Amino acid sequence: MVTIPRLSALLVLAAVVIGLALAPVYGETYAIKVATRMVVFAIFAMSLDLLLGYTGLVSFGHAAFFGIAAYSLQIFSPEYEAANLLVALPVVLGVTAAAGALIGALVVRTSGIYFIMVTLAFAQMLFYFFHDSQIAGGSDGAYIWVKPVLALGQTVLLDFESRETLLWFSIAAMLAVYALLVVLLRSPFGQVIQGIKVNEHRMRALGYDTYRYKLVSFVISATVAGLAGFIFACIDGYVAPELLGWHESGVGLVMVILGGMGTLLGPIVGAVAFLGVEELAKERALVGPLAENFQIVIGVFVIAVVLLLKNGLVGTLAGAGKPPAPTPEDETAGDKS
Amino acid sequence: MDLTLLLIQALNGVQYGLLLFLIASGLTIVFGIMGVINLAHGSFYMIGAYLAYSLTAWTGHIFWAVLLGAPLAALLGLVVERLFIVHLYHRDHLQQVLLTFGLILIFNEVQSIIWGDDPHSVAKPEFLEFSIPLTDVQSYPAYNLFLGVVCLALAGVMYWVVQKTRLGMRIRAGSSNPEMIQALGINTKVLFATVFSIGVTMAALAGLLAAPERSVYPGIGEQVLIISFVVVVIGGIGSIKGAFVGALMIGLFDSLGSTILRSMDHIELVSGLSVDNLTSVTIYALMAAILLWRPAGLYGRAQ
Amino acid sequence: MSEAVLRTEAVSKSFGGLHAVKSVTLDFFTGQVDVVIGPNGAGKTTLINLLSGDLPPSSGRIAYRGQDITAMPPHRISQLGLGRSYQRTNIFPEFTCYRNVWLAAQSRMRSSMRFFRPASARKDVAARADRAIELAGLTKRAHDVAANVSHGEQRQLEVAMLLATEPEVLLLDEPLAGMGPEETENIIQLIHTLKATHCVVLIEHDMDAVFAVADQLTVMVNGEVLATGAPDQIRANETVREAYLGDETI
Repeated sequence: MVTIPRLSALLVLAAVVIGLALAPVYGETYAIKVATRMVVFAIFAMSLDLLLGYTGLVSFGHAAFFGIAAYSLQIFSPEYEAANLLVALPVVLGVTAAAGALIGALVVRTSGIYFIMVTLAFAQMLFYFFHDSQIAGGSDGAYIWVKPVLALGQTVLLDFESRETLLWFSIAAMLAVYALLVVLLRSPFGQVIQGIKVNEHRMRALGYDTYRYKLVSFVISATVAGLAGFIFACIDGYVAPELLGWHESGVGLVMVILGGMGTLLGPIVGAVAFLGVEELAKERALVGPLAENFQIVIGVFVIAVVLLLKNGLVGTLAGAGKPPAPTPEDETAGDKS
Repeated sequence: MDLTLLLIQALNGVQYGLLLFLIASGLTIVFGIMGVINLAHGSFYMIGAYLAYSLTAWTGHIFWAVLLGAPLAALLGLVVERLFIVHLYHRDHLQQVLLTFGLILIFNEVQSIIWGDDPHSVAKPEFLEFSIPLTDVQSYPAYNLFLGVVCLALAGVMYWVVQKTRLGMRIRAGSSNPEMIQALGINTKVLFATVFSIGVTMAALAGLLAAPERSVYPGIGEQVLIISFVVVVIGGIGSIKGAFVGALMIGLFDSLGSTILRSMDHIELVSGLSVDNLTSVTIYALMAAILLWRPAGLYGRAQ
Repeated sequence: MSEAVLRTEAVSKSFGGLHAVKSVTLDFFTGQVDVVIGPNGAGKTTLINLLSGDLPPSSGRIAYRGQDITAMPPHRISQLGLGRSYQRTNIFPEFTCYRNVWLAAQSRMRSSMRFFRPASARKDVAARADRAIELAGLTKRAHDVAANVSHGEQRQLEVAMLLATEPEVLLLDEPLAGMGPEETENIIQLIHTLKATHCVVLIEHDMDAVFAVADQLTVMVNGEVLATGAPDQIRANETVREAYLGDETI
C-alpha cells in the first residue's frame, strides 16, 4: 500500500469486486449468500489487519466486536417492523465503539502474549454473557424477524430483505472501508501506529503517548468489525453466541495471514480464498466422506498456510515480499530532486 | 445458604483448582521454556477424557484406563512436538496461535469421527461409588475427594521434580532465562521434547481423572483451555507458582462465586438478565481486575 | 552562568542488589557541553536512561527547569524538550531513513490524532525533517531503507532523529561510536554549533573528541561521580588519573 494504491492492487480489487457482484448471475440464494459472507469477512479481516499488520497488536478476540454489533442490531430491531438503517447503523456502531473503548482501555495496557490471551478471555467473557443470559435467546440465539431498510421518511431506498441489495450494500461498505484505511494510514495518525508496530519503545522516546494511539486504533478496528457484524446479522437474520466465539476470531486471523498481513488487499483476498476453500471442503464430490467433517480439511489448510506461506498470498504473488511502505517522501522526494 | 454448603463448595473449588493446575502448569512451562503459546493444549485434556471413556469400557476399570492412557498421551505429545511444534520455536506468537488453532480443528474432527458427538459418562470405581455424609441431607461424593487428593499428589510430584531433580533445574533455568539453556550446553532438542510431552501428559491425566466426575462431551477441550489461559495470565506467564496460585484462586472463585450468585437468581438486572447468569462472567472480571493491578500477572516478570 | 537547566539530586538506581548509579548530583547548563566519561559499567548509560525517563530512579530527584520529572514517563519528558540518542542503535529498521526522521519530526505536532489529511501535507514537519537530515549529514542516504545503510550512517540517523524533535537538552549516548573520521568531525562541529542554544550531555569514549568539545567533564566509576569540573582540572586530577584516564590517553 502506497499513498495512492498501486495499479496492480486496484486491478485485483476491481476483479474481486466484479466477481462478487456477479454472484446473482451464477446462482440463486446460496451463491449470493456465500458472496455476501465473503464480503463481510473481508471487512472483518481488514479491521483485524489494522491491529495486526499496522499497529502490531495480535488480537485473538476480535470476533467479540463482530458479535456485539450483530446482537446490538437484534436487540435494537423492532419485532414486527424494519429498523431504519439511518438510525440502526449509527446506534450499532456506537455501541460497538463504546465496547471497544472499554475493553481496549484494559487490554492495550498489556502486550505480546498477554495481549493475545487477554483479548481471547474478554471475548470469551462476552460469549458467556450472551450464552447464559436470556437477553437475546441465550444459547439458542435469536432472530431478526424483519431486516433493516434504508428509508427517508416513507420512501424505502434499500431493503435488505432483497439479497442482491444486501450484497451490493456490503460491497459498497467494503470499498468504503478500503478507502478509509488508505486515508487513515497515510495520515499523521497512520504514521504513528505504523511506527509503533515497528518499534514502540522508540516511539515513546520520541514523545508519543503510544497507549493512546494504540487505544484509538483498537477502537477504530472494533468499529469496523462492528460494521461487518451488522451486515452479517442481515444475511440470515439470525444471531448466536458463536459469533463472538474464539473460533470466529481465529478464522479472522487465518484470513489476514492467508491474504497477507500489513497489506490492504491481503485481508480481502484472504477472506475470499478462505471461504472459497471452506465451500470446496464441504463439497462431497471433492473430498468424499470428509465433507461431513470438513473442519479437518480447514485445519490442514491452516497449518499449511502457516508453514508454507509466510508472506500471504498477496505478498507471495507480489514477489517482493512487502509492498512499498507509505512514506511521506513519496511527494517530497520529487520536490528535492 | 448454610455453612455446610459453603464447605462443600470450598472443597469443590479446591479440587477444581488442583485440576486446573495440572492443565495450566503444562501451558505455562511450555511457554516459559520454549516460548510457544499452545492453543491445542486443551485438546490433550479432551483426548485424555475420551481415552478414559474408551479404555474404561475396554478394561472395565478407570485405574487401568489411567495407567494405559498416560503413556499413550506422552507418546502423542512426542509425536505432535516432532511433527508440528518443532516448527514454532523462534517463530512469532501469531504463527504459533494459528498453527495450534489448526491442530484444534483437526483434533476436534478426529474426536467427532471416532467417538461421535454424543456426551458419554465414565463409570466411577465401585469402591468410590459412595458419598460421605456431612449432615442429614448433604454429603460429599467420595470420588471428588479422591480426585482432589490425586491431583494434590501429582502437584507434589511436580514440585519435587522441579525443585529437586536435574530436569527440574533445567526447567527452572529455562523459564527464568531461556538463553541460559544454550549457555549451559543443554541439548534443547531433547529438553523441549521432554517438557512438551510432560505438559501433554499432565493435561491428559487431568482429563482421564476428571472423566468419571465431569462426563465426556465435545468441546470440553476448549472450555478448559480458555480457563487455563485465565489461570496462566493471572499467575504470570511462565511461572509455575503463579499457575498454582491462579488455579486455586479460579477454582475457589468459580465454585463459591457461583453458589453465591445462584442464591440470588431472583434478582433480575434487566429483562432477560438475572444475577446468576453472570457466573461465568465473574472469573473474567477477576482476571481484568488483577491485570489492572499487575499487567504481568501475580508472579510474572514485568515486560 | 545562569541557573541549571537540568539537575539531579542524589539520584540512585539499583537492579536487584547491583547499584548501577549511586547518589549522583549534577547540574547541566545551556551553552555548554557536559561530557560524562568512565569505564564500561560505570553507570553512564543508566544515568542517561534515568534522565530520559526510560528507567525510573530508585531514589533521588531529577528536575528540568525547576519541574520535577523524576517519575515522568519518557514520552512526556521528550515533549518537555529532553531528547536522547541511543548507544545501541534504536531505529525503525524497515523504514527509510527519511521516514525514521519524519516520525521524529512529526512528534512535535501538537497532536498526531489527525486522521484525514495525509501526513505528507504537513510542510512544517517536512521542513523539520529535512533540516535534521541535513545537519546530521545524511541527505544522500535519506531514501534508503535504514536497515541497509552502514552502521556509521545508522549512528548519524540516531542523531538526525534526535535533532528532528528539536529538544533543548540533548542526551547523546556515544553518538560517535562506529562513525568514520569525516562524520565524527561533522558531528563535533554540529555539537559546537548547537551548544550556544542547547544543553548538551554527551557520553563518549574517544578522548580526542571528548577534549575537543567538553566544557565540563564528569568522571563516573562504579556508579559514582569521581570528579566533575573543567577539562583541565580533570586532566590534572590525580585520583582520576589513577582510576581511569591513564597517562597515555592524555
